[in-house]
Amino acid sequence: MNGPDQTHAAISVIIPAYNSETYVGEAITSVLEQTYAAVEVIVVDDGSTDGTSAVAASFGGLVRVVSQANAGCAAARNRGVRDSIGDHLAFLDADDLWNTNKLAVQLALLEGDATTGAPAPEIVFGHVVQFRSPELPVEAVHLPEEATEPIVGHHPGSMLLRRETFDAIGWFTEDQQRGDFIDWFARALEQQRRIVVTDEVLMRRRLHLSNMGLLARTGPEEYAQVLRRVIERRRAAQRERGSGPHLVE
Amino acid sequence: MSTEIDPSSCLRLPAKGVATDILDNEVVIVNLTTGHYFSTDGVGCEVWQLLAAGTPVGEVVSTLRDRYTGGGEEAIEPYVHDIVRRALDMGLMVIDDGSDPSTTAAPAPSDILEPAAEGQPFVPAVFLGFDDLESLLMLDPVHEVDDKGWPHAAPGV
Repeated sequence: MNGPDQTHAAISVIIPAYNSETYVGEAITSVLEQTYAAVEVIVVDDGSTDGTSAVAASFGGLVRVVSQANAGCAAARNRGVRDSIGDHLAFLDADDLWNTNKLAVQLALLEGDATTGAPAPEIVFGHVVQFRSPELPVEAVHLPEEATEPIVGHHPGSMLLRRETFDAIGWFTEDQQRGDFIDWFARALEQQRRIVVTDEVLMRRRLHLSNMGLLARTGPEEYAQVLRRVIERRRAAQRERGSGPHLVE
Repeated sequence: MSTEIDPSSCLRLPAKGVATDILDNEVVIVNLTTGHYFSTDGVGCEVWQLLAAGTPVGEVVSTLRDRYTGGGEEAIEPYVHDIVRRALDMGLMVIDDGSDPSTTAAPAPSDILEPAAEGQPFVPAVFLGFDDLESLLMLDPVHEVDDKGWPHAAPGV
């Protein structure tokens, strides 16, 4: 492969999982098939009552299962970070899939291009395509054509970053069931981290009955609550630095 | 170009796609379809609450005129109309044409707003809009959190 030096970057992959025995095996496989190998795959079983742990443990080798009482997706990701050893961090939701070149492409970008003299990015995202999970009844959900077009993957599963960058931005917010990544990403923006999004599609996001409920935008009040925090921080920063927010008219 | 606002118009939130959160007289509004989010406080939040409750635009204006008698009253109507236009333009509210049978009559403004001190001047509040988290808001709704966990297979599969 024409990728970064295999011995250079140690990537820990964290997969939070809760009652995801149906999909977690495919997710793990998509990590193990990477052209640039991770040093470990930590599946954080967030108090599942199904066979999630057993499925994950059956892989052995690089795959390690960490179990905790149910505390939510953000807490599971944080637990994985705490238990990981790599100097780079990547995340994958238990129902999603990576393309095989995901880590290699992002690591090359993260290393930067010394010939240009431009500072290397600190966080790299890819594009994402959504796909209908095979068991999802076609008649149950209308999936518009545009839903399968590549979209900017500002999503934890599409991200690679160094541990030191993660540490500086801080933990995922654990007191929100939804929107924890919005809050985290907003903090990255506030710190003016160098963020790039490669045009390459690196992650496939599974649409299934469970997350289609959210696509129907039911009960999304927590998003507004998360954004309240973001706005409050920006107002405080504006008062301190005089920097302006991104406004739409 | 400013559009004429009919004072008898009533607005309401769209059936889906807009999330709001009101706390300490500040409202945060998220358009989950466009990924844009908004915030206003003080009198802006009061206008939002009245409009969202279905209060006719003209009654919103008159309510504020009764509420703020300490100066600046001439700015009330254009201010309310500006928020109405923004709410409609940004897809945060729709005109209630009476076609939705589930729509109930608006409560009295005094049941919506906290009492205000006498003789307060009218001080417009800024209506802020942000678009920098658009891609996240469009993509973030990933995992339904319910007692079946996230993610899980479809029933019967």
